[in-house]
Amino acid sequence: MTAGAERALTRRGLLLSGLALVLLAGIYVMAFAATPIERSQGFPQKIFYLHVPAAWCALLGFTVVGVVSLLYLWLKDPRLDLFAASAAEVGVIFSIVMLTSGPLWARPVWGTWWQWDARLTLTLLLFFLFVGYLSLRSAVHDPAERARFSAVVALLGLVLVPFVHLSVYLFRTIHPTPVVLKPSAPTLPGSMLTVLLLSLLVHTLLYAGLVLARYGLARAAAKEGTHG
Amino acid sequence: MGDLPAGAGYVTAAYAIAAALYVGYWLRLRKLAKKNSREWKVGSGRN
Repeated sequence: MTAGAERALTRRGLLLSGLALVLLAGIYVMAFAATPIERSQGFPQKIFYLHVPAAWCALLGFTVVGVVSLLYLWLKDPRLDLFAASAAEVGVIFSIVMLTSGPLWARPVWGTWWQWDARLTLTLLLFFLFVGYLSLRSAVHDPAERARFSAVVALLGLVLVPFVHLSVYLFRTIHPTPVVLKPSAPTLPGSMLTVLLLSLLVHTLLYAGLVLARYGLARAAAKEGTHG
Repeated sequence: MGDLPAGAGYVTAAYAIAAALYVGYWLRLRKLAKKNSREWKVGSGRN
């Protein structure tokens, strides 16, 4: 890949994520203006349109990191390692949104910021695992060694992802079960479901764009021999 | 403040933190891309 191709990749990623950010502003407006106030939770339920898509992108991101890392261990292609690292960094950003919006929603609705139950604890563990993944990458300087070690950590994260999703069914937890990503039909009124699905789409576009831009930059850094 | 619905502060905080993180990270990537672009031009003698 030429330096121009890496620049083009980064530019495309920035354009896509920039567009997603503009669309996200529209989602913010829709969440406040085009959805009803939920009867039992009141106004704080609006956090739903932010928290669920951020959680979706975080779990999607860590799944991508795990699968791509598995492919790296098999194919030993350094591009896969760089892609996994890019996906992990962006996944951590979405995790922070998930882990801040969750307690801000829980406080007015449950009366507590945090509960050490299965869903919340496993989610926090997954976040720390990927922060550890990124720290490990900064600490190991040999590229092949760094890629191998971090791929193994990413696989541990991949194992944890289904437990996080299924924890609301497997354990007694204060966290509600999914309203969309479940075997039966979604249980949401039309306008709420529309805004949620649009928010999921825009968040996924944002995630894809940011990963693409980060990957382009990581490729350029790897080519120059600097730590990407 | 009497007109604000109950819990508006939590909602505003959640949305503001998310916007700051998303936009902040995007700006960081853009800054890195600009820096790389300058270095690439210097490296290839196209300054």
